[in-house]
Amino acid sequence: VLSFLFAIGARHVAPEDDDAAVLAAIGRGERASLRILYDRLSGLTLAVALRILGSRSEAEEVVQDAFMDVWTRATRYDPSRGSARTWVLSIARNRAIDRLRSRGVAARAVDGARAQAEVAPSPGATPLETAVERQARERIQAALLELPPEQRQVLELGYFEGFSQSEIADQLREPLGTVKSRVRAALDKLARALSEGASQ
Amino acid sequence: MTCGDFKEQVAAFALGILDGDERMACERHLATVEAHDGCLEALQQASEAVALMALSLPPVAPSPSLWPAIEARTRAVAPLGQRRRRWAAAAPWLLAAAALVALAWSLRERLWLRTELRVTAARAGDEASARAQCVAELDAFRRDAGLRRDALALLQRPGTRLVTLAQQGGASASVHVILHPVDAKAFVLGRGLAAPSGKDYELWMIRGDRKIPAGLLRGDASGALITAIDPTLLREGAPDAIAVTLEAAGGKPQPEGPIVLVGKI
Repeated sequence: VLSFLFAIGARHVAPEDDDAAVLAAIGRGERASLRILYDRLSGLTLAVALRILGSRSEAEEVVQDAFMDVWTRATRYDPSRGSARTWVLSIARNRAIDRLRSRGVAARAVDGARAQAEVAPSPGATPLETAVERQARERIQAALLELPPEQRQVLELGYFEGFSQSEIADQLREPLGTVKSRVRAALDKLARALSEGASQ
Repeated sequence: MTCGDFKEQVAAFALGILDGDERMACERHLATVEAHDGCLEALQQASEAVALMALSLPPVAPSPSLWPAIEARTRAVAPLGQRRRRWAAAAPWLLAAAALVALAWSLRERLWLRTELRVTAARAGDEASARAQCVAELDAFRRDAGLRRDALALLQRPGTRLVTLAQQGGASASVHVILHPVDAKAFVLGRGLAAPSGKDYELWMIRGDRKIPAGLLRGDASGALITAIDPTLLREGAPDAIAVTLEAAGGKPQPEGPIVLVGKI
């Protein structure tokens, strides 16, 4: 069931080739293409930034900076490292984490918990996604929920709160090797599910 | 870092949780290794898996003012590719301008060099001229010294006669002739032999009625002169008399000008 849902999501949520073509056009200075990419990904990038920062105004500043990065550095996109969408999302995530890190470690933990409460995934579809996209998102959420809690926790601490693996080990009072193993295991499971879904 | 090491770290690298040194090592590995053993595939797979974290979130509608703000900022800066293309487009003109500047500089340098060479050549010419003059003067001194030495030696030899030419018509020049008829050697010592412009003093050997030209007497700047008489003119022995006339410049085959000095042997 998970693989089937991934396959649907891959077709409808991730038009990778198209995103790459749009990035190429942006690299040629086509502002209209940036608008296309913005329409496709601004909702997601804002969601990521808001989840990380817990502040809408800051999150929108991050999105603004992220799309400016895309505008100026589109020619540096390397397809061998991942899809165009993944590249744009990573830019927004890294921008948000940089801003979060500037607040200090103690504040980050508090902000992270508050942000998670404020922007917790809603069960219903938002106006920005189609029913198919909502289905895809829900199955991804389900995939994450299928992970063991300790594996999901290290992913969330790393991705949304910007802690390094040694900081995660300190927070969880676990050996660094354990944290590394959990991260590898969690991503392997997600990658395998994604790969199986895409191949169907 | 080997490809195996990289793949061990790739999950944490994609998630962005590696500490600074480890992250740099991974970036360096990706940037420097040409033939990877599955590193890029592993990275791509891990990155897509990490992206699921973002895709698990419901999208949030941005405020209406967000796109206009981005669009306004994009008008202030061009994409990197375009900036490169602009440079690339401008490059031929810049190169042409640089070439023109280089050409102008080269021409200026060449002109300067040519002028310098001309000045140097002129200086060299002047120097060569001065050198030649100096050499000539030294040669003259040496010749004169040789002549003086020879004249002195001849004067000290037995049978040598010293003939002082008598000034005629108020002439200011004075000439002595050192003559050895047997050896057919003779030297002329003169003073005040600065002829007027367009004129030359000319020496004559007089044998009976014959007046044999024996050369021009051109003194130096001070009018002094020492010179040898052509020995062939003395093969017949000592002349009857020696005379100096003032002739047109270059001399005459036969005397036409006034006699300024004369001496009987």
